[in-house]
Amino acid sequence: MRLWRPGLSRIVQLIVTLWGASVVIWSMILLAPGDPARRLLIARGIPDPLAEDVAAARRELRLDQPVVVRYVRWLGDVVRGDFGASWRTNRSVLSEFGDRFGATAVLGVATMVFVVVFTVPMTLIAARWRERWPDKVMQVGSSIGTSLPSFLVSLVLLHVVVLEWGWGQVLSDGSVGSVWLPASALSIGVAATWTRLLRGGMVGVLDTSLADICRSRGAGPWRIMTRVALPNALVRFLPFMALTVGALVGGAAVVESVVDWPGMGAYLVDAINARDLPVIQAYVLLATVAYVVTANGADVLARRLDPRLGIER
Amino acid sequence: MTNASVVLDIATLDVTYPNGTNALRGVSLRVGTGERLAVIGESGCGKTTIARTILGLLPSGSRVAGSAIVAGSDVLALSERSHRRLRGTTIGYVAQSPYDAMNPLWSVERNVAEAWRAVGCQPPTGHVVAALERLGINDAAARIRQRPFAWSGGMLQRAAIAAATAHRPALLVADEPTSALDAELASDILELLDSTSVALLIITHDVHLVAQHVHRIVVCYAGRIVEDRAALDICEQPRHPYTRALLAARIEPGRPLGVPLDGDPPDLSQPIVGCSFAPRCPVAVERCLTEQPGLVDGVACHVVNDRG
Amino acid sequence: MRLGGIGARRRTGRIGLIVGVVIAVLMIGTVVIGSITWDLSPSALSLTKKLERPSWQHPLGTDSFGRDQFARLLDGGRRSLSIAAVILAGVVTISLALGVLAGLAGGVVDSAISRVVDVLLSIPSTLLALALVGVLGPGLVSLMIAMITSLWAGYTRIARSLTIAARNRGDVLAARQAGRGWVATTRGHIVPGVVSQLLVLATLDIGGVLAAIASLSFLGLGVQSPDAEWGSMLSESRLFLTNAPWLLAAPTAAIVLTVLAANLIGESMHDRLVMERTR
Repeated sequence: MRLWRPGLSRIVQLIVTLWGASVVIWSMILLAPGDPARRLLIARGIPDPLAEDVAAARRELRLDQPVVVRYVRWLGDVVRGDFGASWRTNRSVLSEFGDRFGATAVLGVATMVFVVVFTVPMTLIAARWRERWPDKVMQVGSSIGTSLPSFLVSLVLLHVVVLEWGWGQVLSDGSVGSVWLPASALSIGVAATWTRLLRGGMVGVLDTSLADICRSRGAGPWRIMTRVALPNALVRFLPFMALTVGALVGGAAVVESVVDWPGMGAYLVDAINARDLPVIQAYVLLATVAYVVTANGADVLARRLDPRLGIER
Repeated sequence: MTNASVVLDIATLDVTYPNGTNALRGVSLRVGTGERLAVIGESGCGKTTIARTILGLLPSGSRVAGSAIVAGSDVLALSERSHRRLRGTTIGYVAQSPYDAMNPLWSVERNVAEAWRAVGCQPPTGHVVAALERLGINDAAARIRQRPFAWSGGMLQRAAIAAATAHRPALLVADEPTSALDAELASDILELLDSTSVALLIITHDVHLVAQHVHRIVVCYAGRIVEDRAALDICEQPRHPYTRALLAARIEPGRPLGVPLDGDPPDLSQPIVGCSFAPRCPVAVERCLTEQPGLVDGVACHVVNDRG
Repeated sequence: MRLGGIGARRRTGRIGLIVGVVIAVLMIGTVVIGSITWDLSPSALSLTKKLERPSWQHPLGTDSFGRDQFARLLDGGRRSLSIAAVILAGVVTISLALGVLAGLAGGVVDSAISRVVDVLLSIPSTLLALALVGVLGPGLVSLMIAMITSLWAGYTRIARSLTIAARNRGDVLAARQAGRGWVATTRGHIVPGVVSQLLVLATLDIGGVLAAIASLSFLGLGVQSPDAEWGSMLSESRLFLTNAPWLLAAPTAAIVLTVLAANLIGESMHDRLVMERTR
């Protein structure tokens, strides 16, 4: 589709940036304190290794080779889809992710659905009755919404709504039925931010002569808001909105862990607790790729839709 | 002019914005069917307020007094819904900037078609293309699929006129329709406005440009009408001192109107006693400072009227 | 119908600022007065007083170790705020140095710094912090290093563009004309403006940083027990929440109110500065 075609220079920039990110992400393991070979064995559950175990581990990790070589080999593997094996289970990281990807995908989709369902009506109401009480209420709600950390909301929902009041399932089994809890917790912050952004954007459009022209043609306020103000605001803020989704990735991991959602995020938290470095590296790398592609995709789309934002080269 | 043929009848219109600016202070003017009227003045004199009042686009919280009868209905007494029904169908509007008048996300076709869709109907097939070709846009069928940014200002303004006149409104209000265009295009656009409108109210600060296109000219200063006469008469023999200064002003593109007068227009948030032009007037007398001159024979000036 | 006016916006902003300041003053006041007058220790264990309901002696009850919750709340608050202050001070310092350097030096230095900034910004910051703590091992120092690393890039980019904008400003050029060296000019004319903008940004971020500290400590990756921290207090009490709901309420309220106050104050300051610049 012509809408999505990015310019050549953008693709080049993207690749360079991702390559740089891979360097940073891989180098993180050099920061880990202690002997990597021992850490590997500890993660495997061997707290007191013998000398030859340590030597074998050193060979496995190619610790005798220079840093650059190790990076290049890792990069080569990654590009071919080999993210190494988890230090705990020894299964390939990719297959561990694969097992859990579905649950995280369900959570992601549900969260975005909640966000859209919260945001659109609230934005329209706030813009329609600008400066009157519905708008003020929305602004207050938005301030509060951005102040509620998602892990806290999920904790409160779990203990108050599910355990105390008895609504919903206690066990989060990754199914659509139980996704409402983590999705609500994650969507509040994003919805609050989006509402604020889009309300501002819509008000910006409603104050222009374009809105006056629409009114002069006989259009009513709702028509102007839904057909003109909201689409223009959406297009203008699409790149920002993509950025807020990126922030969601970290929060999702914590929320998954809080409610025991069988997704990749909870797995990451477990890996962090077990110091399972290959898993951590792979997760951050994949999340970064997804984030960069999404952010750039949003930017390309916005420019195609509204050329005033700058032509895509 | 009989009542039936009066399209716009504004009587002692007084408008104060929510921030306290009294933009119009007892303005009266009339436009008949087939007539073209120009409202001239510097920026801030209230001429745009007249347009907004007719269209009902004043900010909420504005105070209005007087009457503004458009095609038989006093728009000041109408509910917002009823007023909306007049917009687009009975009252048309062309704005200054053609690019700002178009939704950048839509094709030009969709933008013009909005003139029908906004009032709940669909443009008859081929109508949009025909309207644009009538206004001088060649190859309209292919071009209308493009987005507004691909069209030139002059072409877009024609499209805007096509949208504004889609339903043959009884009154077309054009607020500085040529200020964003260069001189050559400006007269083309003015001719188009002449040909498409039943009655035209054109607001501008460029007297010389519109003088050949309109029947009457109304000169506005600080929220009051100071002169209201036939266009040719005003241009040949301006009587009010402000009008004379305006006509002597030189318009340089990109710069504000260089009226050869000292001082500034009065602060519209304060009441004005006497003639609003008196502080800057070269021929002002004692009486001008205390007594507001009424419109006599189309001129609101003690000095001019006393001379007879 | 339209043009509500900038005046209206300011009024809402002022309400936000007032509410934020009121909350902040109340909380800081409680912390300060409480720290001076409350003599119960946040770490004193008691086997006999486990999971007590709120009472005059223990206004917020006790936890599963018999520790007074109010004292822990105060202690945790002080800890969170000082950690956040250290983190933001570190971020502002690093980004000031690198941003101004990049903005003034131009050429290779600028490109190098900008590339690194771009790369770091491509990694989602909360995830970066999480991963770094994972790699470095849990602990207060790792937490601070991880948070500073996840934040400095964004601030550096802003410091750089502010410097570039200031580089050609009237007073800077005048100072250079008058013969002042680059270092003195920078110190006198460029740095103050950049620092104040960065500090405004930092106040906007206090809420987010506090929330991040709480969530990382909740996971056991930040402040380590037995030190008190609101996030870790929540995680410690998870098993007992059905019996002792007060253990959930107090830290939750503390976190939400503090973050809310920080956000409200930060937003009004930001609005004020944007207003002044657009006038």
